[in-house]
Amino acid sequence: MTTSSLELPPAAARSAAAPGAAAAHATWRDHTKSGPPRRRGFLDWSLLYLFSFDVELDLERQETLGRFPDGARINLYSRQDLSRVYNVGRESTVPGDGRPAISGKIKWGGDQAVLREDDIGSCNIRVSIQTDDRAVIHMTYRLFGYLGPGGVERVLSGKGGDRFGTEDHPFDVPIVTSPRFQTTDLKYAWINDLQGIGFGRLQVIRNRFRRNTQDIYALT
Amino acid sequence: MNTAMSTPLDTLRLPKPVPWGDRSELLPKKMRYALSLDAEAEGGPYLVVRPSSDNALRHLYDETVVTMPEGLRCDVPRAKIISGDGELASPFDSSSPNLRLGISAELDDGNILNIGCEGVMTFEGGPFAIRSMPAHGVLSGSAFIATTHDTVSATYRWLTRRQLFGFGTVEARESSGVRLLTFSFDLYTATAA
Repeated sequence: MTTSSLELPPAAARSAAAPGAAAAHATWRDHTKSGPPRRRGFLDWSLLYLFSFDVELDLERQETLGRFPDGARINLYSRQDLSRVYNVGRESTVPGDGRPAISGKIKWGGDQAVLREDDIGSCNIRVSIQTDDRAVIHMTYRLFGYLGPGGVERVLSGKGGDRFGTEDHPFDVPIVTSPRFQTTDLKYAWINDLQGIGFGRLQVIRNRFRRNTQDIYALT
Repeated sequence: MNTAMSTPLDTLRLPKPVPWGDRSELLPKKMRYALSLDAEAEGGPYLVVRPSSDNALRHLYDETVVTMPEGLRCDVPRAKIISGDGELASPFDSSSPNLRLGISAELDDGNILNIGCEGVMTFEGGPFAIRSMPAHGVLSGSAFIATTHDTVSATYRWLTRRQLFGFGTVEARESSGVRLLTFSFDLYTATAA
């Protein structure tokens, strides 16, 4: 490897490697130092759309455990009759992959949320999906959502003194999640090997978590 | 007293939320490169992460500030790995693609950063390829992780508020009876705003 190859990649390669574009593959390596060679270019990456889901939370079963050293804890559960999984394009296969698309309902969903004092909601969520062809897929993920200034206190106080979301104008919290999947059904076993990423919204209405909707992709 | 509580929040002034239920279009999403992570670990299925002499956590082009997708400008941490451990597969399923790394790193401001990495890893040749890897052989694969972070550093507190998503490569090589795994990740930050 010549000395010039240790320099930064050309500007064209760097701009091509911007997120959202097909990344330039890195071949610039510095072998002059001890230890592993250092990359000097971005790795290729893309996202593969898997499915979307909507969850309506069960307000009757919301359990507030109280304040703990790491924050306030709330247990939340989904409503089976109003929670579903679907493909936004109503496709029957995963785009570009040919595997069966995932659609069905959410049989069970639970969240052990920790609302931290820095107004971050940290959640540990478990969901059981029953597909239309009766396969069961278990999905787990963590998420961090910023509730806005004073957001945790507003949710905990549970009072409607201010308008922290109404039925007509819910307060939307953008969320990003990192789901993993488990199933024993051979038709969907391919999903076990994927690390997912979810982009979604958590809706707060009258200071209570009410709904969650997400688009789930796989990191590829 | 949180002063933000004294100001009523009126969601009528916020943008109209997305329509609810059975959407027919995808939600907005953005991802942006934040930093890179290089790590070496030996062993398997239980891993011991080697300390690094160079910055294992760094920006690929030595930028000191990155802009998050929502516009927030954040300092890029540089850190050397002090110690760490991890696990390949699962004690219950040796064909599992699970990857877990727990890394403790010293930041350039002197504070400690704990990085938790969980995800998947696949080698060319399938999940058992690493078991049948010949002596002095090399095996390549890909790895995808989501990371969480803990630090008291005020400069890098933004890391504790978000997950990063890593697209990476892994290279396994065996020499002198020691299996060495070299991980290299580009970590991206994401938002649904």
